[in-house]
Amino acid sequence: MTPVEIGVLGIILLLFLFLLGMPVSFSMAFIGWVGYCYLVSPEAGSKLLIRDFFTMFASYPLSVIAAFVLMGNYAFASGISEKLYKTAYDLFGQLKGGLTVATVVTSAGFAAVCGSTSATVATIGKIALPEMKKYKYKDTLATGCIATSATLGILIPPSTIFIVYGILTEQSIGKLFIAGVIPGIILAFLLALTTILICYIKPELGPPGPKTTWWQKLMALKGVIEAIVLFGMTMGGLFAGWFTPTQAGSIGAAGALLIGLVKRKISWKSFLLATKDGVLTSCMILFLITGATVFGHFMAITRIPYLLVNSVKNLPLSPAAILSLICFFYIVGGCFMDAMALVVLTIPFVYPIILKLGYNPIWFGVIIVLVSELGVVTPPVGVNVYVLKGIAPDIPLETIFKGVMPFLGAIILTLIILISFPELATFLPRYVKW
Amino acid sequence: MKKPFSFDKFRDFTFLLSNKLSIIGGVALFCMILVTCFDVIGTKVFKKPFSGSYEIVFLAQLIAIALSSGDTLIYGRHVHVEIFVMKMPVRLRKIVSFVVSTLGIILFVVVAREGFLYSVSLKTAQEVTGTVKIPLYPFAFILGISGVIVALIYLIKIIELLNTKGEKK
Repeated sequence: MTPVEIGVLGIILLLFLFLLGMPVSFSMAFIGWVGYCYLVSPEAGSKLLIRDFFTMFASYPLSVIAAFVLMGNYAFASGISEKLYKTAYDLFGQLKGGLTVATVVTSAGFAAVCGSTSATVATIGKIALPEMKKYKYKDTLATGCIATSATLGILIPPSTIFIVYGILTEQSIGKLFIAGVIPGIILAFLLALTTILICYIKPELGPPGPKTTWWQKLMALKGVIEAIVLFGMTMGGLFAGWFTPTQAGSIGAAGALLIGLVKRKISWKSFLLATKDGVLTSCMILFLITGATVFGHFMAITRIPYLLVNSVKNLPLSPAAILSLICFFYIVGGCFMDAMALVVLTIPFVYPIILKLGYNPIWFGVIIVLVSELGVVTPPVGVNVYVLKGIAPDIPLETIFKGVMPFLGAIILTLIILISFPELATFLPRYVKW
Repeated sequence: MKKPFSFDKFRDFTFLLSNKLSIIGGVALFCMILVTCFDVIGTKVFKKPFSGSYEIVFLAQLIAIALSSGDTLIYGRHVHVEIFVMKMPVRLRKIVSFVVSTLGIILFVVVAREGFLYSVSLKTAQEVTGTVKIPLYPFAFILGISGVIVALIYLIKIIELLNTKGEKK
């Protein structure tokens, strides 16, 4: 068998192991190791395996992941999300569908200190859902809005997907972060607009909440101070070139912890829980990257990525058509696989194609995040929906998936806007040093 | 009289060990954050960087990730596609779980073996970090230990599968 045939067989076996339910990271490491052993030698394969594990686990650039994961966990434990919701609730709660607008705004605010969609949905869901139930919001609207708004967690910086994409493609994490700001604001606006339109057409879905005075609204703005300070300190420092990404994440984690301690929101128990969750999440992500690295080394000696780039380049299709196909592939893939795993697995193949087609890699990073967002809320593997179901066991899964559907339009529209006007993502990164 | 082998004790011991190791991992992760903060404050405020912070951070990360790998598997935190497995009949699901666990054992036995061998080679070569000269071999050894723990957890899964052979659920 030729190396290419072995590589194709490896990819088929990898997909088979995925279907068997083997962890994605272990599957990639296993197939990569076996393939390398077969093509080079068992000794070289085993040495490659341990060197990749050692190099990735002891990689300084990868420490940015753990730093931002901990920052999000400590921000949650510090009660920052609750204050954000209180502010948004006082500002928008009295409108028709106002609590859903408040949910979108809170998700966008919490996304500015947390880089994960599942953490955002868990956090916002626990706060917003009881309030929406109290004011007789329909389950479809309430859950659909929470699950979709939480996707802002990976678009508005910091974002774990941007970090992983940046590491895999050797792009500046700071530039990727800032590239997500404008698309994040556009998506937040479109999500809020969707809820307003839904409630305009069917007012019974989202009745107004209690009225607040202008003074209450003004005073409520105090609730965003902590999030702004934390965001300004970390992202501001990163964008200005004062901190490296790891330093920014660490300062953010320490800052969130300090806020929690000063406000007496973090107990010893919640600190331990947040740290333990942080180490397990970081472990999962680093194993994914390590597995992909081992698999990537196997693929490199089969020359498949190189041949794939040339084949795609010679296709009788325009770059826009190829890009559309790639987006379609990610949307379909996202229905069956976790967004992070999909990005880690496919970027080594897709990224060279994007470069060859002449697209901006920072802009493509934002596109990848947007299509990943569709994956985390669509059936059958909509992670956000399952997390929300865990918070609201009485609401059927179908209700949440049904509720998500109108909001998918907002994500797709943002995607179209961004493809039509790439400057929206590439404008701000020009001013970032890191 | 020699006591018979107790699977329950073996499982409890392995899970307890994994839990304790992940606690050490959490401490290492927190130290990583602290060292980075000290370095930033030292560099920006006092113009005195924390010497060796770069090395401490990446080595602390290795400890954190390697030692928490057991608990990450126990708590089911690794990303996996379960949609197809969930639709399989119970018997087939058990066979699949057996196959996956066996492959997991093979992978992590290799990681453990190569980790220990790599540790020996690093010790022989007296490899150290660049600035503060921390020896690297204990960290490869830790990687080997993580391989042993994950392989043991998969072994426990297999034994549990074989023990529930006759059950329908």
